[in-house]
Amino acid sequence: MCNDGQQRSMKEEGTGGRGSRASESQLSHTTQHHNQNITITMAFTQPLDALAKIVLDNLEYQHDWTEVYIHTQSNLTRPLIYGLPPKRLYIHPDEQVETIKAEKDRNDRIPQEPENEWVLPLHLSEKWTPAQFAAVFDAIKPHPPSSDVVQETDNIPWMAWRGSKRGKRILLATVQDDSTVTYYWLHDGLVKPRQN
Amino acid sequence: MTETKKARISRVGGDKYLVFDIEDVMSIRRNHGICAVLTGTMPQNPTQNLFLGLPIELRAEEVKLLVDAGAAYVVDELAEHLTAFGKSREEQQKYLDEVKEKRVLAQRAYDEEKERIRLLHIDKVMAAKKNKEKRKKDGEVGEESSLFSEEQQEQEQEVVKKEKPLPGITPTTSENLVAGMSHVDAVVEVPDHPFYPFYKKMNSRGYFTTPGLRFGGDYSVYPGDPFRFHAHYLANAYGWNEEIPMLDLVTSGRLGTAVKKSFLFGSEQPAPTPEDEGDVRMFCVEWAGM
Repeated sequence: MCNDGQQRSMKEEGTGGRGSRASESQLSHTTQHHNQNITITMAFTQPLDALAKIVLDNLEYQHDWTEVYIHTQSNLTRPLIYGLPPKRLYIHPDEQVETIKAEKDRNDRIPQEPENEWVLPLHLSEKWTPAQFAAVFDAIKPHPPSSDVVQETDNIPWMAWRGSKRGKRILLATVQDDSTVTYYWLHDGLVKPRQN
Repeated sequence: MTETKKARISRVGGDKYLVFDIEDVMSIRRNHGICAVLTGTMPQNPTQNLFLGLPIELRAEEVKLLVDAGAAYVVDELAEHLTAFGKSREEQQKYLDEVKEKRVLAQRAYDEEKERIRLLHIDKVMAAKKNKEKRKKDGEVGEESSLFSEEQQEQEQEVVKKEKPLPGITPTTSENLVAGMSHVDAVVEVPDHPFYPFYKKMNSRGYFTTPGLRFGGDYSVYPGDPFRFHAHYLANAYGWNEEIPMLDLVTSGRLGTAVKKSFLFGSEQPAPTPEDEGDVRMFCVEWAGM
């Protein structure tokens, strides 16, 4: 492990303040480029990488996610994961209402394509503070970096929850030692519950 | 609705905040989104706890909100009553007169009700009288009993003429005792509460909160008056750097989803400068369904 890399990452974390434009532009997108960008990626300690790997495998092989990547960023204290679930994972209750309205008007179903989602790997034995969760949300964009182009339309009500306009949310993937992984949504801000 | 009267909150036993006046209770609920908890029970049946009434008990953060908004003042019940009892002779007499006045009112209400019921059954009474007279004529009623009944009637009339003792009342408020007091001596400051910033934010957004035990959190959060809405969230307030065990998030998220709610937790983010007020960050946890 490269020690000075860790120090450098800590320093960057200190300067990248909450919500500042600078920190968002610092996104060092090191997906699958661990070896080339060694000074930054080596900042992550081994157990966290292992944790991310467990979650990544679980997503890929148990939940059939595709295009799953590990995402590291200088102002994040651990690697995140993002990927594409096999079906749409989250629909805001208001979006659901608008979709049903629109479906009634068109007399046809609106397909719900899956969206890329953020995942935060955690271990059950960990304790996180609200400050840490806030820091993660402040460091990420609503939509993970991905190749698929999201249609952005302003005037169609049922599309107002997609793409960059969607609220920030992240899947908490909590790992226990028996390899159980539980997934819970964590929303940034007040988001009304779905009618499950 | 313009509300100029400040609600009176009584602090009892150092940390219980009670409101006894129904007008205050309504005003707090309508204008400030605080429904609080009914805690009063019947003195004669103190074990019944299904249908509770006045007073309501406020939480410390609710009290602080009302006091900060200038909608209420807090008095220390013990200190105020001791002051009230130490009033001058005339004032004590005035209080006794007011109690007596209430007893007269109670007697009048009782008499009116009695008269109303008598008028309701006047036909039956008249018929019974006629019947009695008829029987008298027929000689069915003996002379002795007739004499006795007249005697009894006279006695009854005598009793009515005599000053009846007024009915006893149980004063339900001490408003006469404390009316006109400046309260200045007994008004107390409300201490800061760690949940206050979180609570204030929820209240300012129009949410009603009730104690959260029934759904497993610090608060149950309703999008309006709990009479009209189901709770949307079960909520916990944490410190900005308070460590939350992951299992707490998972169990609360699970529990919330089981009751069709979202688990909300919030915390006050320290302000960058001491002059600013810190922002409250909120996070919602829901089961992801996978």
